[in-house]
Amino acid sequence: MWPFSRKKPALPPEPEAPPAPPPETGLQRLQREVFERVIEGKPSGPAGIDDWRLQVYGGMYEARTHDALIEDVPHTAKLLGERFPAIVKAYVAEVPSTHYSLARLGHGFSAWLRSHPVPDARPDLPDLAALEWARSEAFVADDCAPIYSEEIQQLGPERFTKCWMQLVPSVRVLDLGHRVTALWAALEAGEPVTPALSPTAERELVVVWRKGFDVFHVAIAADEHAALLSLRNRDTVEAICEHFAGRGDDAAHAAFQAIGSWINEGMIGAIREPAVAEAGPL
Amino acid sequence: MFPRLDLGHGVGLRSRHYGEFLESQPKVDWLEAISENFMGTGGRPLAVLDKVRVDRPVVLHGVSLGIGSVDPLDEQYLKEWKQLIDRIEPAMVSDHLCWGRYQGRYSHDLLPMPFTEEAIGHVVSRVQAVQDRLKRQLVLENVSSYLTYPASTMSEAEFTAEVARRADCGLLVDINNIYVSAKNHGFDPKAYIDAMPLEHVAQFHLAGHFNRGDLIIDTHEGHIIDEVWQLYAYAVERLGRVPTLIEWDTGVPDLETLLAEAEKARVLEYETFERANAEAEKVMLG
Ligand SMILES: [Fe+2]
Repeated sequence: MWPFSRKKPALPPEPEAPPAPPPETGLQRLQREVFERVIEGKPSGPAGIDDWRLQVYGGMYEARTHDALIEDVPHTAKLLGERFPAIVKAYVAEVPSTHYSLARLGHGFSAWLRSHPVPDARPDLPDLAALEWARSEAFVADDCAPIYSEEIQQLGPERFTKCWMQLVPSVRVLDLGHRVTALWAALEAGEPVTPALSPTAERELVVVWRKGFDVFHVAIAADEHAALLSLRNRDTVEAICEHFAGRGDDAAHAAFQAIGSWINEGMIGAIREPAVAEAGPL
Repeated sequence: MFPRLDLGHGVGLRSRHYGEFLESQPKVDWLEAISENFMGTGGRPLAVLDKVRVDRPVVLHGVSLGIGSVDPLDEQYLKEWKQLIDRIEPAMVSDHLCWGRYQGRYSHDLLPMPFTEEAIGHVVSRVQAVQDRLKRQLVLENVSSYLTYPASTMSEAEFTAEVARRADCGLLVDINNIYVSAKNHGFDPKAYIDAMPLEHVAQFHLAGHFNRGDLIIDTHEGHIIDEVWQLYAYAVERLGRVPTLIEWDTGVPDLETLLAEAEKARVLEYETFERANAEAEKVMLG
């Protein structure tokens, strides 16, 4: 009808008020009140229960989350020292555990630390935490048999460049705001943090992966980092190689060296040729 | 009822001992694995579990199901749990008779239930839903507790037994937890054991604890104390030969120490039966 009709367009129906939630059952109320006291730290719990008993559970929650986070980011925890318990408390209050496994508690810690800088602490701690968390994740990531270089040899260079590849689930590609791999290595070796390991606000690109049962990481150049992101994006080998164009005459060699090292390190889980675009004559 | 398995005396599979289990064949009847440590994961932990499962029974024991939580069951949990169960084919699948999740957030604790009709109805319907989903019986464990609710209308033992009967699930009777809660709340631990429905008892747990004076805390640390060993002997006498697990999770000792504790349980179980047999013989011979 519109724009010829002079009729007023019909008004949208009034939104119906959402139905009132059913009243809380006794069990729901009890669990809410206990949870609010023990986990959220509200000042009082359900009536008729001595508060010191609820605090026993509250204390255990603190200890448990503290110990779990130390497992995820041990070196970051060590550098934070005495401040770490209070930081864990503030973190879990804002990023509560929504995964059944306590081992996943550290998933948001690096980002949270970045947005909640600790006064007078090293500015590279969020990056160190990101590296540690990536390693923790890689350690238990899903298993996946890597491909072997023979598979590529069988394809031949022509077909290989048209393929796309898939990373194994343990691979993490990191873009860190500080150089932290040297700091991590010193802490891992139990060495003192010397002035040479003072925070360096230089971008560090890192790849983390698991080979067999062992987790590794290495700092990589910007073009290899871009190539890995391209690989993760399921771009073709041809497109992945283009990221090495900046190396001039050496580009093809650098690209194939990088891909060769990814395969040797067990980082590639699958290689696929694209489906044939045009069907042949029936 | 729950079928009584003849597993013997097991210990928990803990990361400190992974190397030994990967490289050798430690002598142990069966192993308990914490479900959540292997769900949705790969790498070394799962490889160890796969390897140990080849040679001996494994029991999957969970801590995060939250069968008593008012929250809906966690779908991701159920899916990944089922995948692990299908992979490992455990002799038993257990978790705790408690709650821990509220509005999607985990307390990562075994919070006690109020012992009410409402709570029984809630737990029973959820156990039935889980059993239908898993296509197998669930085994539920009594937890240690540090508080009781004024709303409770029955004893913990009555509550636990009634859940098992109505849901037709198994019971994991943790002897140390009975001892801890009995001391903390002042009830008779033997009366608790007497109230356990024989046909549902699936497993016993034994563990160390920490007595801080005003309260006993279930830490799973250190050797099992004499009073808990005596209570175990009583449970064996009353409830029979039941697969028994040694839990030691804080300050995990070397494997030899842990296995020695399992051996001690085996000897005590044997001696308890020998004594009972001798007494029965005496009665029969007049
Ligand atoms: Fe237990």
